[in-house]
Amino acid sequence: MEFKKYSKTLFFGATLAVLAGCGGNDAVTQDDVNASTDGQVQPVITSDGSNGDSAVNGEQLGQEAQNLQDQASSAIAALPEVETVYFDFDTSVIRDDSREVLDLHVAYLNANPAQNVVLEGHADERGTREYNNALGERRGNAVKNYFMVQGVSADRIEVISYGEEKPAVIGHNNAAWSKNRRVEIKY
Amino acid sequence: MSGYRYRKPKKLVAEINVVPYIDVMLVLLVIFMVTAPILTQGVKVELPEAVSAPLDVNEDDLPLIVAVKKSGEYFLELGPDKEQPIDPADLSLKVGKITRQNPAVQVLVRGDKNVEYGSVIQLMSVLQQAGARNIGLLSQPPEK
Amino acid sequence: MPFKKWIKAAAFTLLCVTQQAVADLTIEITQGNDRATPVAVVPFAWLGQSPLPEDVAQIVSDDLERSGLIRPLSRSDMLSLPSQKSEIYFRDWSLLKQDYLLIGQVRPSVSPGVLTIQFELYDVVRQTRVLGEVISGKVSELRSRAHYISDKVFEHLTGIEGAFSTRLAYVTMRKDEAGQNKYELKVADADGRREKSILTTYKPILSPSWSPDAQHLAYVSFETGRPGIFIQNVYSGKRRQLTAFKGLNGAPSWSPDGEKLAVVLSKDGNPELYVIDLNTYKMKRLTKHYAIDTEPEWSPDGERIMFTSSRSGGPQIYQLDLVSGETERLTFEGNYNARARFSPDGTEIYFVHQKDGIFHIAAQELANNRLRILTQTPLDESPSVSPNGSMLIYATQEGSRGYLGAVSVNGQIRYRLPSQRADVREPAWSPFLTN
Repeated sequence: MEFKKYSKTLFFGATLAVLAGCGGNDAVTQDDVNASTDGQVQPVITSDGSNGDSAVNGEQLGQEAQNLQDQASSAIAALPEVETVYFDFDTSVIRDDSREVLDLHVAYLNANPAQNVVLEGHADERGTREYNNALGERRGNAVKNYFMVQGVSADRIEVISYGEEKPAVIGHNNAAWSKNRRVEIKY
Repeated sequence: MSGYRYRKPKKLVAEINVVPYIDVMLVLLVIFMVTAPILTQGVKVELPEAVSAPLDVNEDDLPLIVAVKKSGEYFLELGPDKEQPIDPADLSLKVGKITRQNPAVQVLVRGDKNVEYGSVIQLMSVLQQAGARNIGLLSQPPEK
Repeated sequence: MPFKKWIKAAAFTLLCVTQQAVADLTIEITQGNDRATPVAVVPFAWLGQSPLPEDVAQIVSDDLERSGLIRPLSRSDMLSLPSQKSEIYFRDWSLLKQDYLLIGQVRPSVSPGVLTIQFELYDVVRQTRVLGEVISGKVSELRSRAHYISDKVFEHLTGIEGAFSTRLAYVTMRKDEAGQNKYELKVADADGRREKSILTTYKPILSPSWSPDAQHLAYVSFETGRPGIFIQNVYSGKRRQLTAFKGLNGAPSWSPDGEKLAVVLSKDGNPELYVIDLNTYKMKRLTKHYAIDTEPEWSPDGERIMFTSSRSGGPQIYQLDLVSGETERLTFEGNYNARARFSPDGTEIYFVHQKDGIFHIAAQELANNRLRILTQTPLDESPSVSPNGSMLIYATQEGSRGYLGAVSVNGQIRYRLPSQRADVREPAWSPFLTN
């Protein structure tokens, strides 16, 4: 296939967002496979408006959550302390012991209608990466549905799955795996 | 894991120690006396006459031939150096290369009948240490 | 004397030489293949001045050895080092039990910086030359030329097209100085050498997939904070983001004609397979099921797409016939079978299979559904088939470090690829290079 086809005019189909990275946005790549191995490039965010403003990493989200927590006294309902719920292997069924945590978040969201939430779905390292991405998303969606049923509108909730890419605990045992099959609720 | 320690008392090992048997196996060396009317090229030596088995020369399993001249010099019939005497260390090195790839190789000693017994014994020892397990002594059939 | 009498009169002498058995005599054969063809790859003579940066014969020898089908003779066990026919003593090589002998010469050519490489393969038993060629290349291309020689020799000896000139793509992850996870998409020769990083980011990269012309890689990068599918030219570095839908954007797989990409999107609420036409950017949805559908893989004839689905409960492999639209389940053994890849001839599939809680790479013949487990390590994933169909590369774990392993499709040959400081995962073996 000729790569030139991409660099020419790109059509945005009605259902397909084809994002043409501009020259500057391509800086993340290295020019030539035969170039020096040590060449260092900066990761960039694509120019696409739909996601460009949300390119924050976990640490920043955590910091924001901390800031919000500091201001919690002024909010109507307090930001729940526990922000993670766990799942069993290869399922996205919400466990009974998660409901209390989730209900606190629902109360917080319902008390703060301007507050949006990001649900980060995760899987343990076992099995394949793409299947785990799907599994992480289903876990996120399970929490999303739980929230929606209790009155949180869908447009306030975003689900991102990281699959097995961001383990909370490093280790190849049941203890680590059970901590990694999770959804993190982030504000 | 104290329980683990209990399960491993050294006194109770009740196995036959096979190492001495391996030693015995390795030092047993069978030497055939063979007659090889075909293998007459190479260094000229006068073979002893004896009644012995004819040699099966198989195309796929060429024998390695070491000649011992009356003088006691060794000649390894390899490459271009058939007429050059070889010292025992070099001989051992080269035979070792072959036995590593070809452990069953038949090594035939083509010793002159007037060679000193000691030279042949030393050669046997060198060959054996170089990994040769199948050593034959070439003779020629007695003339009638 | 009659012949028979000689045998009867055979004299046997027993000679005992006292000698201690020493530990050095212990021979350990691991994963040996008795049927491997013994070939002596003699160091090529260099007829120039300053030393060459690469040992061509050693590269060839290492390539052939890695195949498991050929057993190169150790240099230290060679009795002579011929570089032309007049220097060959076939009887010596027969005594060393070598079936074939590869010799060669490298010499400077008339044009500066360009070398001439001559190689010849001899049949030791027949004492005839069976292969011979003179090629040329720059000093910097010596490794490529060596792999070319490996391909030629391997094909002559095994009848299988050599895949030593191919490449691997994979993802590495390591902590940088600030303790951040740094991900790199890398491309290296099939022997793991000449590694180049083609993308660096601090967000996960996964699922690299080669275009059939081996010029482009499609992959998933989280660099925007969300997963997106990108297509990048491996040589120029130019790339485009193809998808940035809400939800999953994953598991790209090129059609055999290079015109389409099968992907997984969850924009409609659930992970489903779609095919994107890379010329028109038109998209077609292939699956509609409330279960997970992911990890598409085109059949070599382009008429079917194999994928992982949880529609029966746990993940199993299914196949969608693009002509009839019918879906067929392919795996039945075990409760976790995922991320399947076709053999180049389409008769076998390789996938991740769970047995007793352990994840292995397994193979299954499609004609009889017979399953065989190929790997023994516990967290094996991402099998990728060499373009000649003889080897699989996969990701596995040792301690907390991921590395790449390779296993022959018959399970007999195994080797590891050197992993340096980083965690290595997501290998993808390139198609044959066409340049």
